Amino acid sequence: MDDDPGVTRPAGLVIDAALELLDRQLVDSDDSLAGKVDDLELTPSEDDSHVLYVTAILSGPGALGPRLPGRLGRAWSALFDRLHPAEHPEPIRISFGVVQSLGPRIRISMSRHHLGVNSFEHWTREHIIRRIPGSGDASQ
Amino acid sequence: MRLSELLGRPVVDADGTSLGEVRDVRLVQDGPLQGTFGAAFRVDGLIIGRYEVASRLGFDRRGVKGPWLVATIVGRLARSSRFVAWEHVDATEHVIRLRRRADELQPPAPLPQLRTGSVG
Repeated sequence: MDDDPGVTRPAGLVIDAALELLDRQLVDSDDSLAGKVDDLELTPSEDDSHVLYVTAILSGPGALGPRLPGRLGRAWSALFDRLHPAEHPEPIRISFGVVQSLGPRIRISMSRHHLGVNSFEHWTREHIIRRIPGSGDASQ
Repeated sequence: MRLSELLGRPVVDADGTSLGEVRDVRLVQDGPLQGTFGAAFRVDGLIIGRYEVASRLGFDRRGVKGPWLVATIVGRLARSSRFVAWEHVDATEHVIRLRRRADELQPPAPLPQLRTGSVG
């Protein structure tokens, strides 16, 4: 590695969030796919509100809407709010404290069954897909 | 706050000159302990640029050595990229205002030079 005297190397690992975290695949404790990193939750420090820490990964359709541009993003979010069974639906929140490793795949120490990452998909399958004539066993 | 609330926002310097938009957020893992992950990531600063494609491919930070034609074109687009430390950022309004002038900002340091570990 070439050291540039003009570059001060910080004590901790340095990453660029959009380049190295966003859209990465999540892998759960069962080695199963558990969604993607659609957004990050940034929380102010208790000591200094200007200091922000990454406290959680946000995943699922509820997290993706705000990232999409303009009308598409608003339409996506409105559709998610309309279809989701909860009155004020929130995206799936995965505490950064359960992250085990970073890389092309981000490994977490929880099972996807405890995250509810597929709850929206299940609800859509049960309440919409199943009612479409000719869907057959598509909801299975 | 969400990361997506920062990405894409317009940025002006202390003189009101437009610098482009927020293209990325640089994080440093030196925060308080957070479960099994260890130290939390802290927002260290913003990477600002005029051309999204240059930042999206990481040409301004990874020292990418692609095909020379691509490297030349995207490398030129990435020359406008600048890093600003979070302490100099006022993100209270939609247009992010910096407490520094454009000529006081440096291009973002390439990630390999900042690394003590490795991330794929």
